[in-house]
Amino acid sequence: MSKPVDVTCADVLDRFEAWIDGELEPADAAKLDSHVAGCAACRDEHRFALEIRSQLQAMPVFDPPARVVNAVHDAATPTMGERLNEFLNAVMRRPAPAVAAVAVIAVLVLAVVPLLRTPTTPRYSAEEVERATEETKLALAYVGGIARHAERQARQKVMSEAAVSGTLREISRSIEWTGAAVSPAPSTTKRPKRIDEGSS
Amino acid sequence: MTREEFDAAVAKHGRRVFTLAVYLLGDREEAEDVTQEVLIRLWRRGHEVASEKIGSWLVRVTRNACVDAFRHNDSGIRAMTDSVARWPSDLSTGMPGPEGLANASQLSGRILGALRELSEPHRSVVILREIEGLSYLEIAEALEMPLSSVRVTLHRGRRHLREELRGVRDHVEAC
Amino acid sequence: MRKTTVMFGVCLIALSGLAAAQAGAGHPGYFPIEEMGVFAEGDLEVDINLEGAMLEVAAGAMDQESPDLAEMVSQLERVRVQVGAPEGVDEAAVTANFDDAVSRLEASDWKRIVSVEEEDEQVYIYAREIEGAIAGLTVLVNDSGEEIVVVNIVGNIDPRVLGRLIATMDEMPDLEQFMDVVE
Repeated sequence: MSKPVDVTCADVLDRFEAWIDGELEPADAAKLDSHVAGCAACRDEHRFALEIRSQLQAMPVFDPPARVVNAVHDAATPTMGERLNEFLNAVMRRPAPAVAAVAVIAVLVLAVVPLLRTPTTPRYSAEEVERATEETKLALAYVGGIARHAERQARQKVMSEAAVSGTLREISRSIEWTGAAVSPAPSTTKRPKRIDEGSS
Repeated sequence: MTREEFDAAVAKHGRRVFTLAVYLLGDREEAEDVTQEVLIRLWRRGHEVASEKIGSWLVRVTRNACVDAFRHNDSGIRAMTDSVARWPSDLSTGMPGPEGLANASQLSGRILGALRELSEPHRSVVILREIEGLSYLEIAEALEMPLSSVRVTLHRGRRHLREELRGVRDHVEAC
Repeated sequence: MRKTTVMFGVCLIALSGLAAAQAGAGHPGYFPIEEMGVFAEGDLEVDINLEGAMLEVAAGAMDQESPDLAEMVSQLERVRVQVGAPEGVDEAAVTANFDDAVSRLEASDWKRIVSVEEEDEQVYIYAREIEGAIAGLTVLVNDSGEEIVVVNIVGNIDPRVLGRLIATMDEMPDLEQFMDVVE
């Protein structure tokens, strides 16, 4: 069978994947069918493309290992606040009289408030402590990073010597010293191209 | 999100998340870390996501986490391809058919290598479509791409794979 | 859920007077960054809100690793950080609200430590000084209207310790490392 003159091997290769997936218009697909039937090289390429796709589709999938699932479940333990909120939501949803609902909330508040007022340090989970520690470091790192960045960028000092007390001057000197540091200010806006996760 | 809803989501989507991370990162240990991070994020933020969108949200978050894992290593997205030494050994098993198995295994190993050479988003789309079996619509939702772009990206990705592997194929047949 | 949370909060405030015990509006170092109106509701990349006992506990955890840092943190009463892109909020309103906050700080007893005022970047760091110590730090950053950072730290801050820490904390942690923590 001779190849149709209006379809070249290059044409076929251009639309190969769409053709394999059956996404071409019938007329175009027929042209490629006809060409491939009469062209050994394109037939060979067709077989190869199908083999690759077949092997990709046969690649194994993996279940997350038990240790990951267990770690996720450990981390998914609701905090006291979350349990409290869930309980309150359940109370409010129940068709109980308003007075009873308010009474429940009042009892809860009266039970919780004394705990909040005690002078002893409340107990926190290891996860809460770690979280608070990391958040504190992050907050201070922001202040540090922004301060150094601003010092490098500032063209003009706002403070005059007369307006600044001795203690603030000390801070300014520390910032000026760090302005000579080499490390660049981390940019908070330059990110790799991510997809906005949103809350779709 | 209740604990029950969360457990159901993990059971339903955990495999997809982990598989995507394994193939994107080419490193099982990193994939486990990313998977853990993503599922914990599901627990913390899952209540903001409509239940029917959880699957696509997880794919998106996983991909972003893998991109960030490479950014953290200061290698950029391109470095996602530079990990052949860390491919899990079990990826080369499970090849179809007894005939030509030796050749198939060799080719499948090189397919993984060629897959790592693909740039984004071609690599993600090929993995999601060909390995994980997502529909075009699911991929479009997950990666926030127009449907037509998913098709084009998939076709280009497969074409690049084919071109990359052509040399391997010729070698195999010559042996 | 929100109604429940608000109701619960109102009950707490009404019955316990708890607000007065926190680093709230009465503290000289306090600045209500969360009321600036520059972020869409619930759309923050970083939202840190630490007060009182939680900061004490964090200080204890840091003590071995960094005694200076721990010492400073133990004197803090509030650490509030919000970072995000002001999407979903009218651009003009964001600029106006940001400028309004700066104006309020300028007109009050806060002292500007350093600032950057470029067309595409505004950075302001203010300190509130009380009897030789820093009672509060407020940091405002507007990066091309694409990302805003607002920080308010309240407490008894030794400026020498703070200066030393600014000099030594030379690496901004990768935000994504903290996503699991701060979400």
